[in-house]
Amino acid sequence: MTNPFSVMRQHIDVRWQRWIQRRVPKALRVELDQRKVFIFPTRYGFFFLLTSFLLFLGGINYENSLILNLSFFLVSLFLVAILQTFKNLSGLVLVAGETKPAFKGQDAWFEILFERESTRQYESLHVIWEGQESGSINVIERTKQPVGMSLRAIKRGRYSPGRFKVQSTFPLGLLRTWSWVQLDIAAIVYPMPVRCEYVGTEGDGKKDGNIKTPTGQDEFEYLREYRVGDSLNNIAWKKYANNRKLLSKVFHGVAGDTYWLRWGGVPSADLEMKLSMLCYWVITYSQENRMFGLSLPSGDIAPATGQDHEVNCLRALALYGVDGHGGLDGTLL
Amino acid sequence: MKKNTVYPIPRASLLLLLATVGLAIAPHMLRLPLWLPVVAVACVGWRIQVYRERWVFPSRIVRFSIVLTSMVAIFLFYGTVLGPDAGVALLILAYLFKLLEMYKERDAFLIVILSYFVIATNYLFSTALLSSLYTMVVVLFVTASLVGLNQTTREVKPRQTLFVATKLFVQAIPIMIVLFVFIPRVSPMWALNIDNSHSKTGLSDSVSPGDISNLSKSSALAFTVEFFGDKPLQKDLYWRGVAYVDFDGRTWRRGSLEGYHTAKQVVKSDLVVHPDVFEYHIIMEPNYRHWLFALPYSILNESNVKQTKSLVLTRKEPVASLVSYDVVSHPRYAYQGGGLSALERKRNTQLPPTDIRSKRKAKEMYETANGDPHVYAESVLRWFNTDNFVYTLRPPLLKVNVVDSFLFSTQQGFCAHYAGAYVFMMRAVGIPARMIGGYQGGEYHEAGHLMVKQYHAHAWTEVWLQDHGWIRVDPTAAVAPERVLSGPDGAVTDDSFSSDSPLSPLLFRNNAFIRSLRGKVEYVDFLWSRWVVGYNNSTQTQFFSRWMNDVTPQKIVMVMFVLLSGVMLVLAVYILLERGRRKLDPVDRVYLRFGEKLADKGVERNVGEGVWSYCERASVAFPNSAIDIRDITQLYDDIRYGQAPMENIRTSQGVGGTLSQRQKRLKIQLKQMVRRLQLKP
Repeated sequence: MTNPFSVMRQHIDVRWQRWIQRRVPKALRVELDQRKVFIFPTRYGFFFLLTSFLLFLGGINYENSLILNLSFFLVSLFLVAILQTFKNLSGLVLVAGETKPAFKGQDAWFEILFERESTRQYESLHVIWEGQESGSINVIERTKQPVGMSLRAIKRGRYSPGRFKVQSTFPLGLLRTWSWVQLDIAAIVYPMPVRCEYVGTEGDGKKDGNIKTPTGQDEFEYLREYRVGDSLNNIAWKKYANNRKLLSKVFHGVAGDTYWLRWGGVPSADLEMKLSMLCYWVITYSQENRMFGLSLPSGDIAPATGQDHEVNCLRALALYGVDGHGGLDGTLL
Repeated sequence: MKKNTVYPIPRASLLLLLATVGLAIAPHMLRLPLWLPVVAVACVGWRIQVYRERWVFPSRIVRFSIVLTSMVAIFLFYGTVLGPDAGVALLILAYLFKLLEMYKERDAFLIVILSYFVIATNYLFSTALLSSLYTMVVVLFVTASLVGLNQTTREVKPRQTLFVATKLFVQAIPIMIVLFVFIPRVSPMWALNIDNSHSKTGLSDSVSPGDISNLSKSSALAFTVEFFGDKPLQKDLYWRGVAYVDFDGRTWRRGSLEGYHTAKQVVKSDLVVHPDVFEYHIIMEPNYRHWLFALPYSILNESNVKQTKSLVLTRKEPVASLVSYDVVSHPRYAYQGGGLSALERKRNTQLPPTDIRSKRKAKEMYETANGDPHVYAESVLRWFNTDNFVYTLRPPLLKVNVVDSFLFSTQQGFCAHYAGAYVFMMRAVGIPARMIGGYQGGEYHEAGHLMVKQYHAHAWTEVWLQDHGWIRVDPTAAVAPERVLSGPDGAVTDDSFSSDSPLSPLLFRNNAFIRSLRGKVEYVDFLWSRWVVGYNNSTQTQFFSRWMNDVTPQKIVMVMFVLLSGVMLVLAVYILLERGRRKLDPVDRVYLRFGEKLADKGVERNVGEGVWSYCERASVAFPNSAIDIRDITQLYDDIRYGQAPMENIRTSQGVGGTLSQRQKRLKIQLKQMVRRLQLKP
């Protein structure tokens, strides 16, 4: 048996989604025109009107024109506030900005660009997105104001959060104006790394005929700027003492010590678990600066080193079965 | 909402809020107990210390005891915690204490709301033009505080907040005016008195001529009259107010036990009126008394006004604020000519057993007049006129037998002495008579309205004669006819009047400049009272009847909605179309003007054409201006992309960004070059 109320709520929800989708469609760039902006008094607004009414009663009963006038002023201010509050949101352009990937369970970072196309200034805007509320946003001096939001990534793949609400009560706090916006924006969510034993190393040699060596740190190759995650052992401390600049020594493994991370090399039958484990090894190998390749049923990534390679591998893991090919993951985001 | 943390009110907002509190309670200060300003300063200071994180808010117990103490203090000061004055004091205390209880945004908002009420209570005590303008300034500050609460820019200055508020304020004014003019005024649902504690001004319930040795007359306005159509003669301007009927030998008192007519229905048989009428509108200054002034015989169409048997108009509520009313007067009338009821005759002939000499004198004169009331009344006036009676505002005090002393020994007095003595003389021979208090005369302003001031206060008499009814007799006129013709200053020959108050308006009445200045100020005051403070149901109808044939509330409301939507539309266009004014970078704008100049001569810039290729093309077309064209292009290039890049080109894409000093200089240079450019082929 289903609860009739929950059915009804679901029904209303679906209809609302459809309505708002038609009114404010998903896009890379959304201009908040009159159709997309809503406005309603806040509880302060209602209280303000009540005050005006009480003053009106006072003015009538004391037969005092000036008290009546004050009451009329409050109403007038409220009417002006409708226009001014509405103005503080309408005409604003929201543009999908950059995103930063995250591991599943961590916060992915999204950027929305608030743009104004005229001299009009926007003050004290707020974004509410997936339960997170931004600080207040002012688009006053600059024409573009980036707003970063960190949202918890709960699922591997392409994380495209739902509609966000952008709202404002400026200038008087008596009315709230808002809009529900869905930007065409997504962040890559890597699998959550799971520590495990890598069991499939035996087979590695066969593929390329190389002999593996335990370390890829045999020959010093060059210096590069320190990046977070570099091993402290590899920092060129002498250089640091000379010019106060953190540099990492980059070693190149001896030719031939190439590793392969294979689908079958992790001890799990579950798809997500497999990806998580491979993820762990991609990170580990990258930290150790080894040259490694990644072999997935959907394709291979040739062995290489460095951060770009690491990102490539993590992306491949994140999007495995997501982007249509593979079809292992049921939902296509 | 976090609990138990202090709401981090923005600095600008707090400053504005504290300024608002100060400004809002300032006009109340003189009416409040002396210790209240101390409390105010303490509360504001405490709040500032909390903001600076030196102190914390008082605890609940401290707060509670402060509130209790001040309630007791209010009670001790006023003897009550009710009533307007104590009420306002309590409101202001609550307002101040709320400053020490600002935990949430809600609390700050409540202070804003309380500010409006504190401002509103000020209107109960003063509706003068200047103080009202002041309150509008306070309202502006309240609005600014509200803006401040919603402003989140960290470095915002109170001045900027005030600027935003001013914009809102100015935009609200037109709507406010429409609402003020058009909202139909309804009559009060219940009567609220703010009476009792106020010093009443003007005429009083009773008058004891013998007790006054120095009548200081003030130049304060009593009421203003606007005549529609004919104006009565100066000598006929007897503004009737109170009827003093009861006399105990010393004091004349208002007849307190009189019966009422309703305003419209005076018993027809008692009243004969001639169809001549004067129509006028009176705006009365507050005097905290019940009676209204008008020329007899008057008809008032006000629901809360009644007419006594002695034709005194009394209002249910005292005149605590500016009250305006329309009057139709029949100057020629006869009232109760047919006869008086026994009770009325008794009351109007009643005398104390004192003043034997006057009574004897009255009898003698009555006999001389052969018992004819007309002749007798005339002869008493003649006596006042021919004997050595003197009109003065500084009469000697009269101890016992007031009337005897005045008539036979001092013979010096002002209107009340003469009126009192005359009524006494009439009653002494059985002729019903009463003293009437009111105002006589008035000064016409250049603008056409009549101003009646406190120094026009006067007392005269009404004598009842068979077949004629009540007839007005002014004994003062017999002694000092100038008093009636030109006001009290005309009657006084010695300097006793102006020496009293160095600022008396009579003092400078011969200085043309001061007179005209005073006239202008009085006129502005009059307009304010007439059209703003005194704007009520009848003024509204009167105002609309200039344009409409048949004024009904429905019509007014309809016109209001039309106008209101008009004003809102204009405002909406003004506010919302700001987005249409897309702003170009100032440098680009100058360059575009350069392009327009060239285009006028036939060299148009192609879409997407680079500035340098355009320059080349233009140079070929206008070889004699080639150097100028090159320079302009070079400068534009420099500012835009070259050695003088926009500082914020990266962040703002060069659109609407702010320019540095140097860029501004270059921009001005570019502008001048473009303006001076002469294109010579």
